[in-house]
Amino acid sequence: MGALRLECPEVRDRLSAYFDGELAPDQRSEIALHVERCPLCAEELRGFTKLSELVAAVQPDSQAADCWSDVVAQLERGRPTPPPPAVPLGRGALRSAALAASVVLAVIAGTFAFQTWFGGHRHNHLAADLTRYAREFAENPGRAQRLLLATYDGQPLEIQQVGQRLNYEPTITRSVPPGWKLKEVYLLHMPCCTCAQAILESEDGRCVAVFEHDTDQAMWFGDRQSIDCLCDGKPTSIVDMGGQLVGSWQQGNRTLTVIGARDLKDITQFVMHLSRPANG
Amino acid sequence: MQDRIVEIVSTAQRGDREAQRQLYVEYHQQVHRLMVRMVGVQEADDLTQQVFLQVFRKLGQFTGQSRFGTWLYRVAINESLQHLRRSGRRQTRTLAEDPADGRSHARDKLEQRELLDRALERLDPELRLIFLLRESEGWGYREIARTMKIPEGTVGSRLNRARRELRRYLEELGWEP
Ligand SMILES: [Zn+2]
Repeated sequence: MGALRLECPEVRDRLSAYFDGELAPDQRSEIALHVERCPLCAEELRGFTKLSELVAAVQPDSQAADCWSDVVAQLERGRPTPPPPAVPLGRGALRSAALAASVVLAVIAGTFAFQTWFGGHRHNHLAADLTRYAREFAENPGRAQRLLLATYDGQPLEIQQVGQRLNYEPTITRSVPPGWKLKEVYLLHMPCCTCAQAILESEDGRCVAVFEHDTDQAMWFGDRQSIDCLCDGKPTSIVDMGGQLVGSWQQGNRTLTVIGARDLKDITQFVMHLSRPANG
Repeated sequence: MQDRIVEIVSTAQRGDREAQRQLYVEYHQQVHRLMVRMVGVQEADDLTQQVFLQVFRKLGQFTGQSRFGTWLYRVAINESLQHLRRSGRRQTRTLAEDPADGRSHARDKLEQRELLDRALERLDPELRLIFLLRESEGWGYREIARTMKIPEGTVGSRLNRARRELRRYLEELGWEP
């Protein structure tokens, strides 16, 4: 048995290329010869083979969902949109909910009331993202949340960390309305500011998301109709989103937004509770 | 096949929705399969959707210098890497805070699929991608190098690393090669 022409490190360097059939024939036979005689390199090669077999054995079996219509919807949404017409409010769920909860309808507003949030061309994206989030939240809060976190570089935080990271103590981490439990808190890097977001769960297993923005502009949902009403005496913008309501109101120089409310009673409960002084 | 795709692409570039849909039908399963491996089943649908959104938004930038499939994969790869970079901290955190995720599980008999997914998850995203393009998609080194924008000569060395690390992670999870 002659001496091996190649040292182990040289062989190891080219072992993948050898394994994958990417070497020229002469190099190939050199490696083959070495591996035949070197148990260490042979063992490494055996590992490559086993790994390859493992991957082949467990090819993903899940089928892709056909999301073509979502893709189109988003492409359409991304297009520059003509200014929305000043539409009178319809008689949909939104209005009946509002009346049922006996709140005062103050102003009827179209989207133009909210177009000042960021200025510039990021409007469409953000509005589309938020609209999508709110819509998906109605169907699958977990999925909606994952997407949002991915889009805005979301980070989960411990409640105690939030204040340090934001340089203010967000209202939503102070206390939650009775019957609700604080489940998760995130920091989101949105175009307007870094905002805090909390996911709350009710006793009957419903979820809402509450956003707290360090800005005094209402959250913007593109060309969705909204109504302004008074919840617990506070001017609040309400948008109907996939059968759930979104409510946004100002608190000092910050904006709070609840996504996933069942009705105006829900929103009013949040407005009432979160507007209270810290220890009240 | 390629001619047909070229034709569909140029129609799609003019904004034709039907042509865009044909491209989607043609490629979305392949993209999805790669995304399942890259980010896991739960997020693969969302990410696949995101990829196609980017593909159609950027379609005007496709010059035809490479094959359309290669270009599309490049978009998919960029999206998945970005996604992983964004969620990287989350993953690290989960691992760090879950001591049960390492050795104490080693003796449990894990499903092969779960084993592989867990091990892949620990691998650096770019190594993971190179490994998957080779092992799962069957790509050659040149194609991988072009798509990942790395020299062809480094594909082999990165695969060496990917395979060694994967083996180690798998063994830590109880796998016996
Ligand atoms: Zn050797």
